[in-house]
Amino acid sequence: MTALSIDASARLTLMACIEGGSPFWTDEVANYGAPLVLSNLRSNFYTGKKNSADRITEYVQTLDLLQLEQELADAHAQLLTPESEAWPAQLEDLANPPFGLIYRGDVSLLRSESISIVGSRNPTSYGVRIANEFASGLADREWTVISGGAYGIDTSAHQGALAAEGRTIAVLGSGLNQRYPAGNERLFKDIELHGLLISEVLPNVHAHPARFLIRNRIIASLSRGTIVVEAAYRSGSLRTARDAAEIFRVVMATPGSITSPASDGSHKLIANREAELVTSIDDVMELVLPLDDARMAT
Amino acid sequence: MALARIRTLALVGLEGHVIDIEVDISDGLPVYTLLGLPDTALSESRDRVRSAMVNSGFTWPNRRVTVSLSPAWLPKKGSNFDLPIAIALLVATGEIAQEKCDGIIFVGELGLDGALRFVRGVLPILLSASKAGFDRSIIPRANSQEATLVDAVTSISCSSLATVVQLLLTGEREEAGDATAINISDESTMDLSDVAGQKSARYALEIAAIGGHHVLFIGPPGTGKTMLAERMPTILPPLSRELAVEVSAIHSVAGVLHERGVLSATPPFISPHHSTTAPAMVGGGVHVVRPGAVSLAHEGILFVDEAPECSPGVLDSLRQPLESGTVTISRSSGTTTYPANFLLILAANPCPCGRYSGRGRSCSCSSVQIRRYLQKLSGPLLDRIDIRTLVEVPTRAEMSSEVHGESSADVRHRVIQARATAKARFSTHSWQINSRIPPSELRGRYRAEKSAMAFLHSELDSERLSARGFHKVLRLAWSVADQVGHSIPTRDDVITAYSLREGMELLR
Repeated sequence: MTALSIDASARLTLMACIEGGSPFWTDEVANYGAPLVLSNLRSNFYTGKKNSADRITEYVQTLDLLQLEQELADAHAQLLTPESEAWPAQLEDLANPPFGLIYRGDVSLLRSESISIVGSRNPTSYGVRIANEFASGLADREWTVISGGAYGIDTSAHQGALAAEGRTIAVLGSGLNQRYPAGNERLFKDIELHGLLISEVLPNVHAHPARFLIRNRIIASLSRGTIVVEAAYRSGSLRTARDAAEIFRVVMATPGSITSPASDGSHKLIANREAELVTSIDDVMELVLPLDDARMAT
Repeated sequence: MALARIRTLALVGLEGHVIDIEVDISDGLPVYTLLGLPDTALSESRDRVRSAMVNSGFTWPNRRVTVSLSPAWLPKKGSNFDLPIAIALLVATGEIAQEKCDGIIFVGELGLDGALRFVRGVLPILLSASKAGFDRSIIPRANSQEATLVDAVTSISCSSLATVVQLLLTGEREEAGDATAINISDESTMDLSDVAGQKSARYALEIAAIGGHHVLFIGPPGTGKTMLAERMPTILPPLSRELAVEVSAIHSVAGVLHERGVLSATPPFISPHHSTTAPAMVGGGVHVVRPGAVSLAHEGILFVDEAPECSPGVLDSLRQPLESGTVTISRSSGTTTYPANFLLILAANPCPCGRYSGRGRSCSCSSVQIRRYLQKLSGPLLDRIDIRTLVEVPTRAEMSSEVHGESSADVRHRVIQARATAKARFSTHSWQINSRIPPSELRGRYRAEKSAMAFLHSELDSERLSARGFHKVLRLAWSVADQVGHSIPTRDDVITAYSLREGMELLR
């Protein structure tokens, strides 16, 4: 393993001690650079300046860079930071981009054209079918599919892309060694082989509900647009849609039957003009491509 | 004469075995020995027989009495040996001549006062007796109705031990004669027209009836899942006399024949509660293996409401009978097989609180609870279910409509026609209904139209359909085609079948 640069190793250490998505810490790193923030942390500079700082200051003293690198190596995972050539520039649109990404698989996919498909963990067979078909359609057009790793729409989207021999990216909320849910392990293995698994936490970090919501901003920012397929009244997918809208990505939703609870959240998005209604993959292409390209593609 | 031999039958499952009851009375201290693997109820027969004889005015032989039930290896159960043992004793003491009893099957339990009481399983006993070549029987009066179903055996019913003896000695029958032969009845107070709306669920039931496909209804409480299922027997073809007798025989063994009616052409409808146990579902018991719900539903409907609330073992115990059409229960006393060829209808709420429908905003269940709820129905069981249908709340217009839905008679007429079509098509095969077409035939002789097969293959290629699902959809498509009179399933028929299996409307 090649030695990490000073910036990369500082970012790795920060990833290990600070939960992702915090505006304060991402601002600090953006303004002063990761190495300076880290050395300030070590010298108790932040103590008392921020609620979480005391705990982080205490924890950072226990971290050992060699051990963190070993954890990466043991997981057969690589670190990606803004210095890297493969770093997806679109992440910088976020107010709070991740310090770095940890990945396994084909990292070049991050630079390819992509669309996210997100939705309910309790889809109807109608939703499963849509996610499947849209993902296959994207794969047929050489687009990459991005989603989470949950049961339901996430799973169907990946399966649709893989069935069409396309490429797909799963953004996990937990570490690459703690993939959740365990029932999707076979799917994760497939994605490793034919696509890309990424996460913004170290490989041995456990799944935690809050991390999945924070992770959603990465799904939203990596792709040109996000399609919500079946979201119930209270659904984490609505958060992804909001994250995407905030950074001016195209937000799309497929309608369902008005008697189907699984589509209630999608209908709310459409009714509030927060999402474009799409009924086919051609609709999607029209929305995400510049006008003349769209004409060529369809 | 101190030796007597009387014939009766012992049941193992629905199979009757001829039992010789021999009584020997010899000199010695008064003692009573019962040989031949009796169970508790049978061992107690001594006291019942003794009191019944004494109270009917006969004398109990105060000598050494040996009663032997042979074949000795067959375990014998229950109280229906009381009457034959009493008659054998009376023959041995010389009250009755042996010749008068030859060729007659005796069945019945005795009361202490000498009354002849109702026993379970008289119908299958007499059916086996006729097969074994007997043509006369004496049975309890309370069993007289079911006995009339067996034409080959002349059964005389009596109400007490004394009248049995009188009959044997003088040929004099009791007054208030025997039950007259009953006609097969097919009356149901229920009709499909009672159900408001539910067009797609009705259609699902009709297709299920045509091809013998199992059904899962999903819908919020109070939408009519039970009401629909209860009306399924009224659209199935009526049972033939032969099948009706077979069904009655099972109910007779279970002792519930009076609930069903002695000879009913309406297919049985059995709905065990979701708290039921596995032995109650498939049959069981320590000494006497009683038929369970699956056997009572033979040639009819087994309806399990609130299926996800069942304990997991109970639903999975249905898998073997679903596969083979019979159920085999093993106990220390031996193995018993009952027929269990039923049509399964499962009903389930969409989530634990039942309100995850419509816009779902009043549902209080978490996403995990909703997902886990229907997952309680195990994969292997769901695999055997061809039709999944959402039952939704009927609209106001449907509820207030004065126009009734189609009546059961109309639907049944179509079902009978479609079944006849299928039967003619399968005349050279071992199966008669669409749900039984073997996979190899579905890929060969019983393919759908070319464009329909292309549609299925594209679904298969995109991994939306498994190979098993492929066959299931084709079988359903044959039923859909039979309903509309197509000679081969068209693309539309296959898409309709696919929708029925997936529980959603597919775009054509």
